[in-house]
Amino acid sequence: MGNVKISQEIIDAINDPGSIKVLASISRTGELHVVPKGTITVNEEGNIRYYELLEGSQTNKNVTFALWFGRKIAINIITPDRRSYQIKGIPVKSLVAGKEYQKHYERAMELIPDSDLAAVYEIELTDVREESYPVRFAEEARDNPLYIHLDKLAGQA
Amino acid sequence: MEKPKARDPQWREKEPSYKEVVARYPDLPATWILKADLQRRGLYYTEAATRKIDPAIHATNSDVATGFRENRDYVPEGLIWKDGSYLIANFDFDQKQPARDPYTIDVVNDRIVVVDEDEVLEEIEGFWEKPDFYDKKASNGEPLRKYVQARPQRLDISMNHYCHFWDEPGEGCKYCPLSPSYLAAGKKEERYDFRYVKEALTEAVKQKGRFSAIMLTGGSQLSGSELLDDELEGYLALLKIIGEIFDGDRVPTQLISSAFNERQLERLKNETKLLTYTTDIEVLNKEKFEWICPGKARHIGYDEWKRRLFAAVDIFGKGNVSSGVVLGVELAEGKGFTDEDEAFRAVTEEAESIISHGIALAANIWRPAPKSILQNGKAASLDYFVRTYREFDRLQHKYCPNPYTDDFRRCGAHVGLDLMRV
Repeated sequence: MGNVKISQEIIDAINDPGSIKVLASISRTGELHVVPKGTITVNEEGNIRYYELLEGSQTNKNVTFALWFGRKIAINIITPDRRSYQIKGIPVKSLVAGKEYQKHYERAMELIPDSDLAAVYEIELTDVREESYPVRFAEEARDNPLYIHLDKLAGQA
Repeated sequence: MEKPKARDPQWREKEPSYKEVVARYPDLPATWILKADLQRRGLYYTEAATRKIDPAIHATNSDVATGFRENRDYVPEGLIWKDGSYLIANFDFDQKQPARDPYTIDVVNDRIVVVDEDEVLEEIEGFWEKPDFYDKKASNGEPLRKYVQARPQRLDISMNHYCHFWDEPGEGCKYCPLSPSYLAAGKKEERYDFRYVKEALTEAVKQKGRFSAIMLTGGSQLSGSELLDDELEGYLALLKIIGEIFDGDRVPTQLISSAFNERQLERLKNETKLLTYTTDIEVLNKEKFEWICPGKARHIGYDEWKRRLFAAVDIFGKGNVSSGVVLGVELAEGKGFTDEDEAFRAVTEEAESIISHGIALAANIWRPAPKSILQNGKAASLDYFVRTYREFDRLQHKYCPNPYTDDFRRCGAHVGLDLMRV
């Protein structure tokens, strides 16, 4: 199971309502599914919490599948200032009833009036990396110095 | 209460273990197989687990209306699994001489866990919580929970507490403890006054985010101008009460009743806001049905029951009709199948003939219930249930009936339908 901790900078990026958040999952037959999920946040334990607002959605099916078999789902966060973070994790809990669920039910309606919360998922983190292009470009230059066109280097001597 | 011991101390040597079944079906979640085995073998709460129950929070022993309960100890109505699904754990396990050793619900490191042979197999999220209306009273001073019961997301109304297929000696369904429990308890009140049902429903739905469906059921009533007409009139009256509480043309409701004919079904569809209809064929084999459900066989018959199921699809629509099955009772000692492979072939072939009509099969696990005619029997192996559920799931994914009123979160009694979540 995951136990990766994330920095406050990334927590802030995930919790920022202005960030774009997409969730990628795999179905029982191996089909990929990638959709925006604006209700992704970080909970008090540092795990990902996501509100599933459509009970019949493919994501709901796929995240349950991942929970059953200990498989990963992936999330990408794009901040308003164009930083990107990729987070992977394993769903460990699906909350669909009870007083705690009912608090989230009302919170979901505050966020999106008339929404109908289907489930609250908790996802333990296994991998976190920044995917912003300047950061990844610098990593590529460091780790794979041969992966560059020569015209980029010409005239630099 | 001490943990009950299995009638046959060598039972583990005679069938595949939980772990062997898990290894045999890697495409099925191990936690789901454990749930199935809990329903088959039963469970026992340690003192530490019992101390985790808070009557101010949790639902305990509230199904007084149905009369199914065998265990009157202080136990929760049900468990909630980490994947959000439920385990019905409140009644009808044999607490005295079970065929197999029950699982133990214990507490380790302050967490509620499932234990077998001193090994922790799974952590459980918690117990079912009681709804707000359970602490309130009807206008007659009786607790509202007497009239309507709650699962974590569903309201249950038991219209008739006695089944009249038991009127003739030997005609009751052999697996069912409902009417024997009713008679043993000396009860006289077959039905409660619907006024108080309405009061309970009105109060219950004030709780935000708690309920998403209403289920009506009860024992069969054969009387009336035509067979089952009195039962029909009762449900019509209850459904009209529900219709007064909710807006819209249809309300997320499920009626589990005797097999009504087309005229009766049309009335349900046209005069109420009922959304889904269920009539339980119970046994997926005509010959075994006639032995196990003789009253149903004599008054309606297997072929006619099935035909009425199909007719219900024409009236309520594909996806809005389902049928309950008491899976495994076809292997009961007496006139049941004696070979699990033979039973598997017969049951799955019959299942396809029903599922292919767009009818979901809500199959629960038969375990011999105390006070039922088959109370001294022995449930099938875990492998049989898992293999059969797996085939049902393949068929249901193929033909796509919608089992949602009997699914993992509204009902929780039919573990096989959990597989339709993915």
